[in-house]
Amino acid sequence: MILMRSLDLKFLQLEETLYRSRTNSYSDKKKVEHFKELNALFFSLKDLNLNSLSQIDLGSISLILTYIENDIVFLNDSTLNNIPHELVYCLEKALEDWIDTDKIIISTTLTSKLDEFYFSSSYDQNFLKNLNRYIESIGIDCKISHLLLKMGLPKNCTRDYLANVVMYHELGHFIDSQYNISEKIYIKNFPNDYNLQNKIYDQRFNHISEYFADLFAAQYVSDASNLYLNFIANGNPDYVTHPATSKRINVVNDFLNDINNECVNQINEMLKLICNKSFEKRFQKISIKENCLIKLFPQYFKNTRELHYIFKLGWDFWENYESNILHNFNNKDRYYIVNNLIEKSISNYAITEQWSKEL
Amino acid sequence: MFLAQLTSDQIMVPFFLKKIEDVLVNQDSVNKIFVDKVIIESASVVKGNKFLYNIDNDYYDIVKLLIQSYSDKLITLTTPDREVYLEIKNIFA
Repeated sequence: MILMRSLDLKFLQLEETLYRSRTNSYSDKKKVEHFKELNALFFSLKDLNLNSLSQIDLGSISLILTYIENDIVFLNDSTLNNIPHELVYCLEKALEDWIDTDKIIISTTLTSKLDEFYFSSSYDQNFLKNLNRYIESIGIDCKISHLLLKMGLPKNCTRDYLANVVMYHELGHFIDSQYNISEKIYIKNFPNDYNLQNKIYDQRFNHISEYFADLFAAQYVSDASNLYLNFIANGNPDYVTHPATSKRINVVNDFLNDINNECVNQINEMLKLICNKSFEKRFQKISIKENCLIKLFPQYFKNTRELHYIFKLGWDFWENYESNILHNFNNKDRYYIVNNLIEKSISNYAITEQWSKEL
Repeated sequence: MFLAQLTSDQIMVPFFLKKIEDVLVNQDSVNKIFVDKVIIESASVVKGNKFLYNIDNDYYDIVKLLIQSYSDKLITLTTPDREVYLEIKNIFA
């Protein structure tokens, strides 16, 4: 039962949020457009005569207000100065392999907790489709064109590419949620005892989902994400939420070394069934001869597959500092050099791509 | 911990209810196709004729909810009708 006073309160809260957001500067046109569309939808809903609507309509409107508020809050965090553009650029390139990115916006929020990396969307493309159908059915002439993805990473890691490589893993969770791959594997494996309402408390579901995200990342960055994982969760045993670190590393290594692995097989089988895709190596190794980092130059990439590999190249550069040019620098300088080189390499590639589009 | 949180399938409920209402009140044929498909797919899963993991993502979230709350009726269901629409509406409303 939707109470009118509760809905009134929601309208007022959201109007205030929109008012405070009106001067935001966004880094790309899609965010500007999304804000305008959310704003237009809000004021169209506000113009409705709520007293004439059914409880079902009021429920839908309440849901839409929550959706608008969620997206506005994330857009607020994703203004010009806050975005790690180079990282977002790489993630967008990976996303292109899985989803029509013209309809996607990546928003960023900087978290205060160490190691709080996430990539989420409470809503999926199916929601957007239903939302647009619904607002059309009640005579509102608006459309929401983009799905907003929410990416969170610790403030101190925005320029730390050795750490934020794990965003590829988080992106994997997002793709998983869009296609329900882990959930469907879970249902297939345990048809009689699944409880979807409580799946997040079920170790079996959580572990499939973590393997999925690990393998998703490995497609692009080889074992670079696991190198960071091993740094923050070295020796961790099985938990309800995550498999033991050693098991995760083994699954990824099997994938990278083309060793038959039941977990990889199950995921690929379901990916094929649901979206006609599969996990494959989507990076291209850069040979020592072509490695610019070891000469302290930004890396040149021939293609996107090499672009993704920069994270692995950066990790190798960092890990092997005793045998490369980095041994001439102190630890702090090494850290800055590696991260700056990775950032410049990505940035150069992004700018060159932009130029070639404009020519 | 959140004060309250909706799951992805619960998010779809109001829109699904609206479709049922359109079928009941306005005899909307497009929404009838969708609603019937959800009910028939759910019945197929409950009867063991189809696997839940094989359900198309367009219907998946609602099918999940329906088989959890309406499986007693779905097991004997042959054709969706007005009575079924009303019962489902009452369960979710």
